[in-house]
This record gives sequence, C-alpha cells and structure tokens, in this order.
Amino acid sequence: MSFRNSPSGGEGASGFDARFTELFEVHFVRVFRLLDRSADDPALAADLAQETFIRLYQRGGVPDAPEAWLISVALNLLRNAMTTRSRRRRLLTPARGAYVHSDASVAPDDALLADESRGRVRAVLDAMPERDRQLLLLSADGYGYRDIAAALHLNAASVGTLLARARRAFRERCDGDLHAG
Amino acid sequence: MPDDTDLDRAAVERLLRTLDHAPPAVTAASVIARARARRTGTWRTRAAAALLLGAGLAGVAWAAPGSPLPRWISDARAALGARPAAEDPASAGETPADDAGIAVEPGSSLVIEFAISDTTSVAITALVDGSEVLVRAPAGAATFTSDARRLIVADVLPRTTIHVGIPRKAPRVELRAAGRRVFLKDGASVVTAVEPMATGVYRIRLGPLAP
Repeated sequence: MSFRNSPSGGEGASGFDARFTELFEVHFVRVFRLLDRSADDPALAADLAQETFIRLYQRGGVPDAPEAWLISVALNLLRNAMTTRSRRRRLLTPARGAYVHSDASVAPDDALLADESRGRVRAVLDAMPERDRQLLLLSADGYGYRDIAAALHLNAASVGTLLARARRAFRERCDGDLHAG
Repeated sequence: MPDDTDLDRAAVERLLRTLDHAPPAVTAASVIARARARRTGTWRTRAAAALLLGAGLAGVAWAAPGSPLPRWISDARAALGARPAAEDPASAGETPADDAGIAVEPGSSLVIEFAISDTTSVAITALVDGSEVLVRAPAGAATFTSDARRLIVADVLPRTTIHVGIPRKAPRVELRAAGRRVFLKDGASVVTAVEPMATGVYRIRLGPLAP
C-alpha cells in the first residue's frame, strides 16, 4: 500500500493524519466485519474496531505491516473482551440483523428461515477451533496469506493448506446442518 | 470451470455474509478526536501525579487506607518511578490509562509465563503493596489467560512494555520468558539477572537470549 506524502485532509492536517485516514477508510469496515463475525455482537465489534484504530493513532506511526498489525490488535482486544465478560444470549442480535438486511416485503416465513440458517451458520462457526475460525474470517475479509500468517503466528507456506481444510470443513458442516433442518 | 477450492471459497463467503450487521457510522476524524482527547486526559493525569509525588502527598495517600485518590495515581507512581516513557522506546506512545491487564491472587506459588519470541519487549517488575499480582500492557498488545497456578501472557506485539506488580507478601512468584526463568521472588528474596533501578523496579528484557 502506498501513501501520499502530503496531507489529504483539510488545512493543518498532518502527514500522519492523512495516512491514518487512508488506512481507516480502507480497513475500518473490514476490521469491524472481522470482529462482528467473530463475536456476533455488533456493539462490541464497533467499540473494539474503534479502539483498534485509536491504538493505531496513538502509536504515532504506520506499522511496517499495517494490515497484520490491525488484525493482531483487533483479535487481541476481542480475546481479552470475551474472557472478561459473560456472553449474552444472541437471540436478540440475530433478529436485529435479519431486520437490517432483509427486504421489507419479505414474508414472515422467509425471515424465519433466514434467521434459522443464520443461527446454524453461527453455531458451526462457533464450534470450530479458534485458529480455523480466524483463518476463515480473515480470508473472507480479503486479507492476504502473509498478513494472516503474521497475525496468527503461522508459517505463511502453510496458510493455504490450513485454510482449504477449514473452508471444506465449514462448508460441509453448514451444508449438512442446513439440509438436515 | 471452478474447482472445489473456488466453490468452497464462494460458499464460505456466502454463508458468512448471513452473519453480518451494518457497520457503525464512524469517521476517521471522530476516532482521531477520541485518541487525542484520551491522550490529553492521560497527560494531565500524569502531570498531576508528578506534582503530587513532588510534594510527597502521593506517598501519604499511598499509605493511607481507603485513600480517595484514584487507582491511577498509584499506577502513575509506579510508571514514573520506572524509566520515563519518553526515554523508553519499548513504551513510546503507551500510557497507563490505556492499559488492559489482569489481577490474580498469587496463592502459595504463581508462575507468569510470557509466551514471546521477539526480543524487543520488556517487563517492568516491581514489588507492590496489596494482595494481587497485577500484569498490565497497552490495550490490544497482549492477551492474558490464567488458571490456579499460572498466568500466561501471549500474543505480545513487538516493542511492548508490560508492567508487573508482585505483592511483597506473595510467597513465591516466578516470571518465565522463552522457556527460561527471568525473575523469582521466593519469600523475602529476589533472584534475577538484572540489577534493580534506582526506584527499586526491575527492567527485564523478554524473549529468547541472543545466540
């Protein structure tokens, strides 16, 4: 990723502020989506995504590998948050998600089916080993193998194989559960 | 013709999209403002703590049971007693108010294990009042897990300063990094390869020894 040397913002914007803004505009939604899919808690994901970028700004400089840095910090924040709080029931959040993403004209039965399939996908994802879950989510979010390897402390050469296995297992489990329902 | 790998990738992405919620309406400018506001508040806190220490008041407050001073004064005392952040590249940009951490009872024996491979992070270790072992790092720079006899600090980002507070009354607390013991408090004795600084804290470099 390349950065302009001159501020892109308004009057007085520093060079770092401009670089930070570029990183934010490219990666904030990706970081939020990673955290949201991991925690199934959009409020928590929003807080942690912002905290990740606050940490980046406070760092005062762009890391050598900014994507890997963002992933590492976001996942660390999530891990600490999840170990210090009890998980809320997710019943309300999936319903809210269904209303946000569904067409207003969708019949109630279709919304219920969508909610059920979402719940099963959620259950399959949560049942996966943490590493496989993170591999799936990071890859689906468009991160490259090198950044994934750096964030998860893996050998970059092994990411492809591990990811393929994780995808296959996830897909088979989801398809099996959905068809069994 | 897509192969199985492509089909798996597409299917996984389709399934994961069912989990998504709308992202928050947050701008870079708002995040920058929050970061600056937090830093300003923290620096004011540290300046206030420095003034109190200079007047000797914080020492009195530290010793007084039920002191009304907030916890950050005692943290700032420990931080200011250690090498100043501005001179410590390992802690540049990090401030106690943004720390995350864990407090655990030491029991009869506790091992703090730093699962770390880089050599650029340090543990600022001090003997403290109180009954709990305190381990803190900048938010997001490490993870903490614990069981009855062990506390593991892992996923440590490079150039991280970790603060460790060990109760003076703790029977036995051992710090280990990269498979080796780096600090041991056993009763009243302390065994470590580093000399304490003038303030009595130990600055311990983590990670494996150089070959």
